[in-house]
Amino acid sequence: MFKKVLVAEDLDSISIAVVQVLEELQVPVIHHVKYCDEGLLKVKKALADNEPYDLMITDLSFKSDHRKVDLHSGDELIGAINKVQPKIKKIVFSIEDKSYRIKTLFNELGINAYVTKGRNSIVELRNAIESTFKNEEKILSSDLSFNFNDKALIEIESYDISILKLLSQGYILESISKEFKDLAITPNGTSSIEKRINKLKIYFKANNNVHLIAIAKDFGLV
Amino acid sequence: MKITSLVKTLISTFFLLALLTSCEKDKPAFVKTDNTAEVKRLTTIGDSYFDNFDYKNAYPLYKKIIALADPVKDRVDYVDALIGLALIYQYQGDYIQSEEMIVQVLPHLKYFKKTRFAWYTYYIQGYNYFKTDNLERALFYYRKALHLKTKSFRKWRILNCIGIVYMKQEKYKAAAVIFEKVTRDGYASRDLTLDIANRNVLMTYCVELNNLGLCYYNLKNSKALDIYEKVLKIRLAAKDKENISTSYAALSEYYLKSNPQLAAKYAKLGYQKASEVNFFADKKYCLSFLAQSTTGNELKKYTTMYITFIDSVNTAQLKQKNEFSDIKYNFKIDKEENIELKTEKAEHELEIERQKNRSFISYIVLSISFCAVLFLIFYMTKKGRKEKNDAVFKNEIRISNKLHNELEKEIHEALSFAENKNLENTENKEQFLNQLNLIYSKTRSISRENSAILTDEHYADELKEMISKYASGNLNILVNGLNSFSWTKIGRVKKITVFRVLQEILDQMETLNNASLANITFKKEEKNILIMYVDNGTKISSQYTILQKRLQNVENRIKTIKGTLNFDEQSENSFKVSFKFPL
Repeated sequence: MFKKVLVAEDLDSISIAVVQVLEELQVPVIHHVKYCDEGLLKVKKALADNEPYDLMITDLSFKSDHRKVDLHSGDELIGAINKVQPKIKKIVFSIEDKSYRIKTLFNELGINAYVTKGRNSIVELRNAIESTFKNEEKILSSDLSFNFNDKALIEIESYDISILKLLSQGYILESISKEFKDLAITPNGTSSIEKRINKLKIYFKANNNVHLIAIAKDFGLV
Repeated sequence: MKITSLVKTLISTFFLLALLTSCEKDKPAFVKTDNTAEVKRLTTIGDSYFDNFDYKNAYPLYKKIIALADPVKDRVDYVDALIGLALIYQYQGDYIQSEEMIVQVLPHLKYFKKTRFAWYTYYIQGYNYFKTDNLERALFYYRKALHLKTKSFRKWRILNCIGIVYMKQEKYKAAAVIFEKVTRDGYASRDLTLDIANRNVLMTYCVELNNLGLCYYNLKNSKALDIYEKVLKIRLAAKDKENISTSYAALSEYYLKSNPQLAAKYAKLGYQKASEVNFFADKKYCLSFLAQSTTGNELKKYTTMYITFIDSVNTAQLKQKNEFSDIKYNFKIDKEENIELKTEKAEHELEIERQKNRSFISYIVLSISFCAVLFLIFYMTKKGRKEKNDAVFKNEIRISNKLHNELEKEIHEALSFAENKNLENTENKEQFLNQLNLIYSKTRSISRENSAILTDEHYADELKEMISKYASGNLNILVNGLNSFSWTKIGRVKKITVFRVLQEILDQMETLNNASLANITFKKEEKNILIMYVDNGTKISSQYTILQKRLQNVENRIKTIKGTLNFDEQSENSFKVSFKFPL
């Protein structure tokens, strides 16, 4: 299990719970900070003392008070720590459930796990800590997993539009591939184009190519 | 020849009075209060000219004083100049002008404690009327002067004047009484011995005595001769060259009928003495007496002389008058120049006044516009606040409706569950907690929908997030071209509007139709952004009407960013709403 963990959380009731989970997991050194700036200082000091933290658990939003701070949110704290200790494991424990924001945390800040605060959050957090320790990637608390893998919102790209247009003009797969090659559009292999057409059929809930084109026409995409 | 002798006397009286008047004026009037140095200086010079009978030079100075002096501040000098002018006009025989001058003095008289100016005023007025044959008016003014509290010599002089008026009215008896009184009481305290110091007094006495003689003569009183001889004696003793001819003329007249030879002798003497001092009146009388008392060649000679003399006198008088007119004319030019200057000054002042008015008007205009602007600001602020309040109110209504619509069922279920089930049971408790959690998360998502929208670089993500909330296993939402243009270049208000409009459309569509596929296309068309929503829901014609009603709020929002909302009712198998707004 982790040896040294830093908890950045401004609400003490929550931090108590977090610390309790860590204690249950028998983490020997647990540090708790209420301000992001303080967290960064702790990380820096630990590095200087050659006793770096293994894991950081942080909230995203911190209430501002009389203290003047440089780092206002968990995002900023993670960004700052990434500069001094990029390899530290990071778990975000927050109320935020917007999928795009969470995706950004994973993709841009390289967090290891995201746990939403909720009714089952202690269990979820415990699981997340354990999974993180096992070096699993992109761990999400169970109530969020649907959102993360959500395909309900489908972004149609100009590539898809081009395929649809060519199909509506009566092109067969090979002709489309040739056309794409001429126009230097990639991917232009027949198999990848076919795969894409199949995907589009799923997106558009079309039974066949003709149906697909009809829908695309109705929607004014071609 | 009563008249001629009368006129002679009057003229001599006049000159004597003029002499005395100028003596009076010797004491400068400006000693009282005079703040204007120039007026004071001019008065000194003017009075000195006047005293030396130099009326030609005194005249323009007095005119100048009147023009310069402030009638209130320099009242003494102002009145003094007016009286001076009145006298000058009078001496020139211009009684109308003289009266015109003296009338201007009248309003000032009440300001003088001393009666000197009043006395002069009434005296000049009286004399003007006397000379214009308005004898009653003359008497009126003389009496006014007489009733003033003045020095006694002035009273005697006025009495003398009244006597002369009576003589002219041929009231010789009354006149004689006056002259008797004047020559007796008037000089009771006077030293009538021949002395240089009181020579003037003596001369005046002679004139008045002579007048008494004239009265006696006309009343056929034999005392006349005694008086004439007494006067002649005094004059001879005093070597009074100026007036001796008058005595000779009087004696000549006295003897004209009884002793023509003696009359001719006196007339010759009188003519001779009058010629010495060029006393034209006496010369005239003496010549006329000579013409009456002589015969033959002498008669012819004196008659010719008389005619020639009268002509020359007329010419001289005319010349004198003309010269005076010249001065008056020159002064008139000066005056005109002054008036011109004054007009310029007035024009200048008028211009200043106009400018003042103009700036005053501009101040008024400025303050009015300022007030208008203030009012406008106040009005707009109030209106803006009201609109804001209205918007907040509408929004609150909308949210509460949404809460009602979405949570009514859940809350009702949770309540009945809690009432009917035993919550001690762990399973029930868990289920109840789940229900509460659902209510909480729904409430939270409603809250989030209405919370502030991020308009920074995460806007597109925020938008996708919002749209994706409406997607489900049943409904596929396709998004096309959301990233085909840069959102950072679009204004904050527009971004918020797009967000809210799409949210509202999706909200309405979710409740209105059963679409399985929806597509949102974002397109940049030259300077516009076009956003089009299409779905494959069952098309109901009333749907548009309902939607149009529901989307009233949306339409207003779009209008605020100068955009347009468009329902495509022509499409056959799909439902289309699009909106467009300028970049």
